[in-house]
Amino acid sequence: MQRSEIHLGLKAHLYHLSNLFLPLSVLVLLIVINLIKGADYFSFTMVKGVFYGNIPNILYGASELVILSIGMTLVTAASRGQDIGIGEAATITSAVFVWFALNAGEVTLLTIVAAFLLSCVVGLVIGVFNGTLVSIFRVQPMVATLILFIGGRSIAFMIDGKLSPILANDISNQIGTVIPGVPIQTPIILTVVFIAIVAVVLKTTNLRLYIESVGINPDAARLNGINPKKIIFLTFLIMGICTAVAGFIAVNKAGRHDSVNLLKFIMMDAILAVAIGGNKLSGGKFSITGSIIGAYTIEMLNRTLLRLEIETETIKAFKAVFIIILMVVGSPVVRVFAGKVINRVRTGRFRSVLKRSAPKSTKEE
Amino acid sequence: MESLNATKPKTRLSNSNLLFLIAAVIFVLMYLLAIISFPGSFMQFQTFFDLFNLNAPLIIMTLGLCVVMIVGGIDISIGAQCGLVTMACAMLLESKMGSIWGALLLALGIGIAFGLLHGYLIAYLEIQPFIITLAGLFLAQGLLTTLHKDPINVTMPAFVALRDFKITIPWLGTQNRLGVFIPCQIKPGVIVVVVLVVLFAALMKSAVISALGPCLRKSPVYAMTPSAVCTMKPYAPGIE
Repeated sequence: MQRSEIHLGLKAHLYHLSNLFLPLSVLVLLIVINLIKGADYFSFTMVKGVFYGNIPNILYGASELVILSIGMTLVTAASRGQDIGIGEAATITSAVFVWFALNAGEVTLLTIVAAFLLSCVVGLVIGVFNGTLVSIFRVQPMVATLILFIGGRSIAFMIDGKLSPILANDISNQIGTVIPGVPIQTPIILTVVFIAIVAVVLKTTNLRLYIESVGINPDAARLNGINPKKIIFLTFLIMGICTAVAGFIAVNKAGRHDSVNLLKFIMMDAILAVAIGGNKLSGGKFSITGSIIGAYTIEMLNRTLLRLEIETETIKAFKAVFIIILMVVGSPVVRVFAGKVINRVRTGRFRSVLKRSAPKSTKEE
Repeated sequence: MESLNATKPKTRLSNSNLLFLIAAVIFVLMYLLAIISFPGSFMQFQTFFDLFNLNAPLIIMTLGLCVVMIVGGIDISIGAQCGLVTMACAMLLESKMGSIWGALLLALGIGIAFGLLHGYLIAYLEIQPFIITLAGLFLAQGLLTTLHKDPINVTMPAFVALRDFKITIPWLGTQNRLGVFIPCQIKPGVIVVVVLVVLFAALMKSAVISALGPCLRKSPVYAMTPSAVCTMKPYAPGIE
């Protein structure tokens, strides 16, 4: 009895790990490739008291993607669909941010914070719009968010009033790069803070349970007293906040608001990050850790392909081949097959070991 | 408002029928609006036929995507695939051994190759369609830029002749300002569209796909999309 309980516990633990197996193994593979290319991959350089190097660059470059893929994970898990207008939504929120910051006169920390809060409100409005369409009118998420995907950049351009207004002041420069005296680039810190907030929220509330139950079976969730509409609506609100934060970081990084190219096609990478993280795109159980690792993996993949000096024309083909191999390795069929093989090996070994003590309990599984 | 009704369980119309109705109504309304605002051009039959002349690729791709979506999948790579097909065919036509039939075969080959790849990975390895076709999108884009970076013109006489070939409908047309009767013209692409739509309708009538629904994901029906995509090749705008 006790043995089987331990076995079950171990199995649950292994199951949890196996969700993270795919993203982690890819990460390790990429690191190995990079180390083969050059052994100095992990080397840091200190420039004016700030860390630079390959790893800080990846953390720096992936910050928006990480934040957006967190929101995408929640939306995917609850609504069983993807938000494809996130880049455009972030463009709108950052346009509002830039508009407020430029029109507020003197740029102080207060105006930046106020502008950020205003852009968060705009993000919430976008979330309300998408969430209403998806949860109340039951439009498919991908179709509902297609509206903003098509129209978002024009709206951002109208808010800007001109092509790429420049955000030239000390504070936004510090947010985009480094604060003097802090050895880590600011976007990395902001990302870590955001991840911490999400982790705390998920730990202290029942949000994870609610979202998963809605994603697995909305009707069953409704019968158990969870309103699926509210939960789906809520995930889109969270997505709105995520886009606001991502747009804030992106525009401060760039130093100007390019409404045409800001975060262009980032929804592809975000959805990919969710999938690499071991999440089902058809909703249900989710792992935000996996998505975060997936997002960093994608950034790392991009930078690895650049580091390997592959021509820019073929870089996308290589990326595609890598993704295909990745998904084949992580596909359910291959996983089940591998599990069977491992199980057979293990039971064979167990049988020989257990023959002396308990010959009965070997045939299970 | 109409979509509000769709969520109520008591409505008689099924969801897809309602959407079809909305789309049809929108089309008719927009066409009427266009006729009212531009009576000179939209009253002509030629404008109506131009909808099909110009959008033949779109209609064919829609048919292909339709099959995929009925069985519960999605294919986001069709645009990139179409681009790859047009570029490959244009390069073949521009080369010395280029021929129309060779280009058609090449187009079908590329389409079926992508279809086999996607179909196998999605149907047999049970990978999510979105991700695989996203990879296919990257692959097609990467291959396209690897083939050729800049837009090219196809100058092969046989192809240009095919491109400019138009079928005139003698009994339909309009009088221009000088009183000369100008018959309507349609491109061969429209014929392809009509044939494909009829085939598609026959397929649907036989109820193989729609009845089986999700079960069919285990079949190579996924391979059908891109092959449908690539038949449009000679009329694709990318070559011009």
